[in-house]
Amino acid sequence: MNALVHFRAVSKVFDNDVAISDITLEIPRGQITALIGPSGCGKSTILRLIVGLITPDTGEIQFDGERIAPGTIMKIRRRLGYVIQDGGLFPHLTARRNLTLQSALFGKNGNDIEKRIGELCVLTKFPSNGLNRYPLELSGGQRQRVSLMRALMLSPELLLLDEPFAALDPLVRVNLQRDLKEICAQLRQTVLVVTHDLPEAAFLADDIVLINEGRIVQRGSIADLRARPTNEFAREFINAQRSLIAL
Amino acid sequence: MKRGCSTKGDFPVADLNKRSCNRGRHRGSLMLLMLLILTVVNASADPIVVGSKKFTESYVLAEIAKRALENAGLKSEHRPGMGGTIILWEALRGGGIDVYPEYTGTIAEEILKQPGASTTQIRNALSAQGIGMTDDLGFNNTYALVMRRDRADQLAIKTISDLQARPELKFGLTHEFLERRDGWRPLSVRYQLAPAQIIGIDHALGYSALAKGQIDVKDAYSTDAKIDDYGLVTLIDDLTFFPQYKAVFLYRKTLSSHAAQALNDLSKSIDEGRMIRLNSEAERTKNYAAAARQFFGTTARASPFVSETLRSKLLRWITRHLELAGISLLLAIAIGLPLGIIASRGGPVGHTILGITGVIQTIPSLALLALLVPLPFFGISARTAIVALFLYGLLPIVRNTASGLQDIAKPLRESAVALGLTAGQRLRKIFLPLASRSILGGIKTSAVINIGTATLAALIGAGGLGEPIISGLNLNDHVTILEGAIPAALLALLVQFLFDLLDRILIPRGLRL
Repeated sequence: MNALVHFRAVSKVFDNDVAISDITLEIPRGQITALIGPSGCGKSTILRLIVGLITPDTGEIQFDGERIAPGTIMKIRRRLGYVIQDGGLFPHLTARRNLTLQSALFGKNGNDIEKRIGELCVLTKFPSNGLNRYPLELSGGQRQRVSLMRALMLSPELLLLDEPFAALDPLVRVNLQRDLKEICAQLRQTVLVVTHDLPEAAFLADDIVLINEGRIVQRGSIADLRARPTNEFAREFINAQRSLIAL
Repeated sequence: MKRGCSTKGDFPVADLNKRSCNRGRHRGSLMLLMLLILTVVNASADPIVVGSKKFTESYVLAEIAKRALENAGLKSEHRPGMGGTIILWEALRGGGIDVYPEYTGTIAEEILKQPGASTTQIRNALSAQGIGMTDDLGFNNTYALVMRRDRADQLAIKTISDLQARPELKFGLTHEFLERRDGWRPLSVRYQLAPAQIIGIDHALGYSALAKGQIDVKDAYSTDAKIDDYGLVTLIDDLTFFPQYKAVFLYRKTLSSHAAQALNDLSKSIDEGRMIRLNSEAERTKNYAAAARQFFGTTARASPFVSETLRSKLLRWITRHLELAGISLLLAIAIGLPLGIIASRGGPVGHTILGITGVIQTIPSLALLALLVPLPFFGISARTAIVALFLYGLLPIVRNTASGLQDIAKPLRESAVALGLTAGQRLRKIFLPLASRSILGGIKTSAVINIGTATLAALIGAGGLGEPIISGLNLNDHVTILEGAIPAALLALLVQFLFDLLDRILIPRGLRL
């Protein structure tokens, strides 16, 4: 019962979106778990279900022992941090206002907010003079740092990252991956990260869940996946992601 | 006779896209609005209000009635140039006006729908509706078909029957004449006319077209000063198709007997020749009151009439114009913004809202006014004009608000949800600011449309820059038209400019990068 999130036989069918079928999954506390698989395999759908952007057709999802449902979702959302590929920063607000939006609306004390912003700038290596810039005035990497800060503002119990670095150039991506790993270790943060990039998953997480066509194919460390792929798809997926060195 | 000019005040306006931002606190401004509307509307209580249609003779007769009432010691006021028979009649019944000049043929045909009714029948039918009618004023101003004298002579046309043999002649007829029950259709049947070309044209403009030879035949009124001015000939109504159009005053029976007596004393006092001269005098001097003074002769009390300076007229027109356009715009924002928000959610309700506001836009302005005037709360008042403008102003605001909100990218919407903001917080803090460019664009479009369309207020006597435009159209007097049209155009430009400035204030800087 140590897991923070439980999926129990969850299925979701869409007209024109990614479906998942019969997913049963636990997200343990205090570690990074990576969901990986090809585009359209349903890995983002799992995050969207936790945030309550969509609701399951069958099965149930629990967060910290509480069922995610219309009556509970508003409270649960405030215990989550959510970062998407292009950050989802609001273009009409400065970086600072993006960070303080929630806190101000949820009635947090002004001094506490400032203190928290200071801590996060240090943690995410974001220059504090960039706080008064608008998202369009920031680089892609800086925007993702602000997104990460926004997600961490209220010290969430679960950080959800949906392809957070996919749109960045490789050098920036590598830096951000490294920083993220450090931050999470420091905070002992529970993280669920979605990626289609096996090296990224392997770098960030010890616990990798491979998904295909809406079903879980295999779960384990990168070593397990390489050594004992459970089926042909797993073998192909892992082999497809050759490292440069292997070339 | 009835002159029907069909001048509409709609100025088409390009669809501009910009946006605005709202901040809460709108309840107060709504209250203020209501107050403003009531103030504008209440200014009309005491004096006896004389209405007139928008053609010279009606103006002159109304001025004569006004002076007759004043000579009898009664306070009186003239609301000139209202939009047509239906609007005047409904205004009279509703009490928006107390008196207006009308013609027996129009009363029988158009108002009572009893063609051929006798004077007694007419009087009784009106009486049942609380309306009194004076004896006729002494002249018959019936419809007539007119041609240029040289053209008629050349073709040897003297009677309407002679037109049968000339189907190639071009007819330019007023819209009212084309539609009237005693107008073109029955006339063409009776006389077996089938001209190759008939166009609908404004009454005053039709005279220019006739003079220039762009049309050959037009409808006119037998006491029309322009028949002499343009050297026209009236074709003989050899089958006596046109009914009698004797001028009378219609008045509310609630008027004091003293007032009714003053009006009745005018009967049999104007023959055709005199009416033509009065019309001619009015058109020559551009001053209806002067023509009325001439009617009363030099013996009339020294005239208190001082010609209003152009500057003071312009000030009055512009003030009223801005009042009409401004109040209606504020109303349109107050109602349109919430409707747009609801419409942005789509579904049957959203489609219904967009559908209805769209349909309103297609109603011609004169028709919308004619629909509103009979309603109890409206009548002929600034209030009616404001409501009509408000209705026209809704669509751009509703549509731009809805589309601005719908265009917000899905990741941004979902981020707002994922942050745990409530629906109200998302709308106020995120969605409305993001849609502000589009919303403000809708408001700007509405404002510019309203400045243009507010000229229609003059059709129901509510004033504004439409006043000189309509009377100028009637007089075919370009200077007078421009006195209204130029300020209206400048106002529209000014409004556009101000809203461009407002964009810089209201659109968040982060969206203008």
